[in-house]
Amino acid sequence: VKIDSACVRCRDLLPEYAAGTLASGARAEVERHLATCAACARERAEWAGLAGAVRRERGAVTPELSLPASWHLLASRLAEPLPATATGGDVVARIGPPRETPMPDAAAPAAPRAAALVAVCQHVGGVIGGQTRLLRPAVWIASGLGIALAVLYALTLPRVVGEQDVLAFALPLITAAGIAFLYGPEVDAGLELALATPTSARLVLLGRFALLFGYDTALALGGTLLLSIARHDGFASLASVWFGPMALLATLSLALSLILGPAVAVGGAAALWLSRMLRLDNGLSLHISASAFGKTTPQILVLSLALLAVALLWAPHEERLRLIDER
Amino acid sequence: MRSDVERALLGRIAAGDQHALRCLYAAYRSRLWSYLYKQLDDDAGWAEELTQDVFLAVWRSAATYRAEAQPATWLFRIAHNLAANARRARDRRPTGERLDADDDGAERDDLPAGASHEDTVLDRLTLAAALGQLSPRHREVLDLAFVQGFRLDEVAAILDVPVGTVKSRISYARRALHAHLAAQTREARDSIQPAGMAREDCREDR
Repeated sequence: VKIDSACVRCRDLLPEYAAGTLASGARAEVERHLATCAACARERAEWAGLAGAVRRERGAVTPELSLPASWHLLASRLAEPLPATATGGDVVARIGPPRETPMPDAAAPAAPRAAALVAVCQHVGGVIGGQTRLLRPAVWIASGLGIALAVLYALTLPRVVGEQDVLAFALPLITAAGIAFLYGPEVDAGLELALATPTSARLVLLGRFALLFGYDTALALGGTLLLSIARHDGFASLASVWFGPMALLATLSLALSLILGPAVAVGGAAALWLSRMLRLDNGLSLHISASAFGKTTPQILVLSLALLAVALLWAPHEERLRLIDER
Repeated sequence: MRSDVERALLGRIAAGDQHALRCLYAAYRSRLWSYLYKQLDDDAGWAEELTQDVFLAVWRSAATYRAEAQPATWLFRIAHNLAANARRARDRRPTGERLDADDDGAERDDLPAGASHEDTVLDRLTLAAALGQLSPRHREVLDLAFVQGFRLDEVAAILDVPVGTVKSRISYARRALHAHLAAQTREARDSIQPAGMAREDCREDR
């Protein structure tokens, strides 16, 4: 049997032909070909048999509950309070709009492109904004408290002993711990709902990460500013002591928590950090040394970005987040 | 219902109009229920609950609906995600109830000798077993295309996979079903031939 390009085209359309969802032009094209090609006509019969059989086997089901009864149930749920992790308001609305797949025939002129960009920005903004109140309050409180304590402790230290070391030691560790619990243990009702709407898991995760990392960075910058004013230190040099390590440890923690779980992430980040920061000198005396990671260097930032990329690439494979079938 | 009418409904739902939600519910509830029922291993109560969850999500997120999406595709996409979540949550539970796999065995004797005609091959009983052999992912594509009547590009949008993936899944499903049915037909034919007589005798002895 000879199969030419017309056959290939026809067979591509046969499933939808059998389903009855083909546009009239394409349907006529298929029918013209079927009239001349016995092999494709046999294929059509198989597809038709399959479509009919699936409809028969899996289509003939109707709800047991009557429409008024089930509507009554739904109506009573409309005012239902939101899951415990959310603080009120409207969870799904805050999660963001559905991601749109581009229509194949959209010959988009140049002018609406700016509008499309604005729409994408609004979408991303909506997703990130939507995550704000979905993160567990404990994460915000614990990170804020930890950073405040570290800054206060640094303020009490005499300058020579090294407030820099305290910041460089504590800030990355606090941030990494918070990031590890971004996606929470199994019962994160807010996340469940977030992932049920058609928004990409990657975008949701990136949004959450950006939020918490931004929050910690802002607090830490505030503390650093306070410290630099109190001590007449250079603000930039003080900030550069902790920013690079913080980015590195946060992205490491994100990647570990996605791949191996939050407990491993906290443990792993802490172990790495302690192994680099603490030195055993003269027997058993421990030293904290901020110089271990060499402050904020281009290498450390590149490494952080690479870890972030690993985490985002991994995200859809993660069991809890695997909503959408793997391709 | 026309999709521009549905878009208008979604606009009113976003403004908090319960009557508009009820109209959309009346139009889609049955379709979504039957889709969810099949995705949830024929559990009627679970399907009812998740159908309501879909409309609850619509009620809360209609404001973020973007008009260029097909309302039907959007609804089924939410339903697909909720069902995938629910199934995964169930599978994680160690004591979760699982429906028994189809017992295929009893059905073979129903096939007449030399079954080769298309109608016979697609015999209902064997077909149910053959569909049961497919993975949920392949069954879902068949449901969306043949039962729910979505175009393949719409199926792709619902499942959030490329159209090529949908095409390869549906073709795989057809090949797998035919292979399964052909194997059953062969077995049925063998069992009435002389070589198969011994087996028949054994069966009676038991």
